[in-house]
Amino acid sequence: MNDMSKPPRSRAAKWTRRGFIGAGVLAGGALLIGVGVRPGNPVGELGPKVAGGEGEQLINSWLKIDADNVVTAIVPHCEMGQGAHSVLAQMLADELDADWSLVKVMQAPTDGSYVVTDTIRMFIAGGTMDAPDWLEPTWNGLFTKISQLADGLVTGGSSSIRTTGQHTMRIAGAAARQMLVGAAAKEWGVPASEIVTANSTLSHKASSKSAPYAQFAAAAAEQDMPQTPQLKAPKDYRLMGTDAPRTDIPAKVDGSAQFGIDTKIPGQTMTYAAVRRAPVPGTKVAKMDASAAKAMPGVLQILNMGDFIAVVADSYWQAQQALNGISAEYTTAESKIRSSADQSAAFAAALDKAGDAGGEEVIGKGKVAEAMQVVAKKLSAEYQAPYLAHAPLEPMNATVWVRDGKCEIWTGTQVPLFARSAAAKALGLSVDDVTVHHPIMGGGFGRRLETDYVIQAVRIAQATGYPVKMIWSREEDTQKGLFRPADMSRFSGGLDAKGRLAVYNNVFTQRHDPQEACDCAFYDIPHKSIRVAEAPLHLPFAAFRSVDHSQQAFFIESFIDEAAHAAGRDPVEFRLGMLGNSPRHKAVLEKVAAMANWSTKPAAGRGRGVALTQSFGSIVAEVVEVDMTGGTPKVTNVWCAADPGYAMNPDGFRNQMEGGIVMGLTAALYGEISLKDGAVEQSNFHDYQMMRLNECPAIAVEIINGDHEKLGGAGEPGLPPAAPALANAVFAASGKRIRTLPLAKQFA
Amino acid sequence: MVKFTINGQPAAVEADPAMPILWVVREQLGLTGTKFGCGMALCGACTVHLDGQPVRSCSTPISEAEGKAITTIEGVAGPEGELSKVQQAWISEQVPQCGYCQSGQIMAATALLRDNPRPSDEQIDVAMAGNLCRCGTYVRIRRAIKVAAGIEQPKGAAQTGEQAA
Amino acid sequence: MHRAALLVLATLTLAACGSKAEAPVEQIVVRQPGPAATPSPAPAPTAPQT
Repeated sequence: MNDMSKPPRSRAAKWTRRGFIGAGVLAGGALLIGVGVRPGNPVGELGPKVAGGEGEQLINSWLKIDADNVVTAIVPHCEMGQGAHSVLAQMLADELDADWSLVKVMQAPTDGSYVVTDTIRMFIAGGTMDAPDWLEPTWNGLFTKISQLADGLVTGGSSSIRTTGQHTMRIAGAAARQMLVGAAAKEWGVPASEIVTANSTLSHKASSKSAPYAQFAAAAAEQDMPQTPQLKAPKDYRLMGTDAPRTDIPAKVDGSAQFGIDTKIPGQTMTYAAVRRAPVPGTKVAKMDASAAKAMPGVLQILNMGDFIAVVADSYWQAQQALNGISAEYTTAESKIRSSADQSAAFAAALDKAGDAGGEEVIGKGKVAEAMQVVAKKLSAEYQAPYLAHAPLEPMNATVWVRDGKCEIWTGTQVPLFARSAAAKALGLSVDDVTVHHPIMGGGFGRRLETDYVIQAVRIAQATGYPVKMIWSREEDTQKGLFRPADMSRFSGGLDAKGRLAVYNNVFTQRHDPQEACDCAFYDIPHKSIRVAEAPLHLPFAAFRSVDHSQQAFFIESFIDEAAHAAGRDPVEFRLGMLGNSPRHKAVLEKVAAMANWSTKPAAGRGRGVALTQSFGSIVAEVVEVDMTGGTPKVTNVWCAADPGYAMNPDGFRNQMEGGIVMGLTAALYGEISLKDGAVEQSNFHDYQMMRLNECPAIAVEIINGDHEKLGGAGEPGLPPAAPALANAVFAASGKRIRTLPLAKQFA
Repeated sequence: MVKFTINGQPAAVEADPAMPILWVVREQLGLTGTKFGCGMALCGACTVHLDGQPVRSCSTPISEAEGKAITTIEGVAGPEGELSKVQQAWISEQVPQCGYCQSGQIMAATALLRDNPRPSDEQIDVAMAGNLCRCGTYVRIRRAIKVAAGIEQPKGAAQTGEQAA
Repeated sequence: MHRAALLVLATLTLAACGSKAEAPVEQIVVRQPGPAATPSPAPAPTAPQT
């Protein structure tokens, strides 16, 4: 039930994992207050790292207040455009009753104290999120320990708001508010229940007293830490659920926002590295001729690191120019897959071998083989999706300085603790001797869950001893990374006499994450077999925004659409007929159909297609309208209805849907990483094409808050429906069913 | 030695005349608001103004700046930090996601509106097609340009009765 | 990123992920970095343009 007067379950017991005692004085004079200490808790070291400034008072691990009454939320997750920094602060600030205009965000240091326990817990044991209160301290302590062992400081899976936000940040804010109230009540000699908090101010009406939070920050720390801070019910939200302007946007319009690539080390001469890895994964440099490069301006060192060549120079451009002048030969790869055709053939062979019933079963429901005997109409289809490169606009880069047995790294990463461990291992150092700074990123999309580029830079820094900023060229970024896998999927199915999908039989080749992406569980289909057949994958895998959903949604929602047309039924009506047990999905699909005026015919030469998906806890349906009058698909409109449980910042959620749609359409129209001689063929934006502003359709997004206690994510869920909705629209407009992406070249 | 002005201030740099303006600005002048995205004038993240005209600084050698005025994103706001109409619209419409492309977007949009104060959708298309946004904020960029131009009201203006600046 | 990936990460971390970096196969030192280059000082951004 979605009762907006009911607060979400307080994860109050989590305080016991931090414990709390009173104040201590830090070096530098800042008073460390109210921070939990328990045996082994490194909080004493924490204060100077996060609250060493003049007049700053740390209230708990997650917020500090300064003498100007500015609240700084200390946020563990990274910011890569998804808005996590601001919305996490928004949630803390609401529970704290803070003045949003006086809220700032600080990135938590890369330290085990800031593991994202709630995120890790949801990933590996989601079923424990609703443990009874008496068990909660144990679970929390256990998962914190696991998180610390597993370097669990991760941003991904569209999870930050629904895990850390909903559990850690809100509790931090609510507890701090109660401590402030307690302090004021004591000082003013009035009951705490009579004190009102609003806009970072405490007030007591009867005695006409009021004070900014800053005045009581120190005293607040001496209050007993509330063990069960009451969280707000949605009807009482003041910031949550509103379009609170993002804290990070002003710096992004005046050039002051600092990304990893902008790193400066004060007082140090930076050196710059350009790198070229061997073209085929797993191969090495066999021979290097650097004779021309040695003589080029600005060159400091040239390194053959085995698997890659690096030039270190006074400037990035000089390094890249010199690198371009180096010729090399490489070892040969063992892999038999040399071309995209080879990759497809390997997939086909795996699917051939699996046939109608082989492979590893993911879902088995009903009796597929028997039911297929009695269906009224059979259908089958095979779909393919290519490799994709993430192509964030900020190419991979890392700045590293190794000196005096210590290593300092500045890089955009979604896994800062993992990067720290990997660097420590590479250098034979303790993690305590490695510091990772992770500024905001110019796009992550899952590419920055990998630490390959960080370790490259670490190796260059170690070999040279210089502070080195390594930047990948766009060519290197396109070709030498890790990729959304190519995939192939075969379906067979059967319609019953009433035109309903009775049998659904599917086998595909790539199963990575999330485990449930291959199953359209919300549709009622009596007989289902979903299997995965192991097949070799040439290029290394990295999670790409929405991961398996990015290709599975195309496969599944194309097949569902083909079934609808085979039944002679309307694609929306056909899907609605299978959503009898999924009321929230039904509501989303009905809403998008209404938004798109689905019941009316589009103009001549145009067609509309629909797709419905659920990913990362959010239900999203999209209708795409495409104009085929020019002979090639031109997307004119996208309507999107989404149910994320509850949108903490609706405009931010819409921005994420819009972005996911553009990325999904880009992939559907143009996205293809192809292979030649074992290497990636594409190199820059001329041959790895992106949708541009002039091609971008009108996009309308509407949100249904279907369950405020079960939040879904925002970063990824908008992407999966885009490709199938577009392919379905192309079919509606032209009668041509495209089963292999990308689309545009099939109409060239 | 190449002499030019940068955001209104005189500058002189020792640089390989072939070095692109982008890298001189970022590394020698320390102005990192202008970004590197592709190195081939395909993405627009490096857009600056050269004597007021938008150019892709990754593909324009510093020698071409001799005697000219370079303006970067850092030079768009006023002397006291007053944001331009374009920058204000970028904030009111909450345009940026990761923000990496937005310096280039703002430079391109600023040049467009200076030359064409009330552009049509087609004119916006032409002026902005060279600026990629991988996060996909195009719908908001278009709207923000119209808000800056006074063609549309800023978000929230209807409720507060504010007029577009 | 989900269950499987996380467990793999945990395992890798516990098993001490990655390996010690090997020395370069070949290292050509052309010259040492000099003191910070001295272009004209980076001026404070000024002057409204639009």
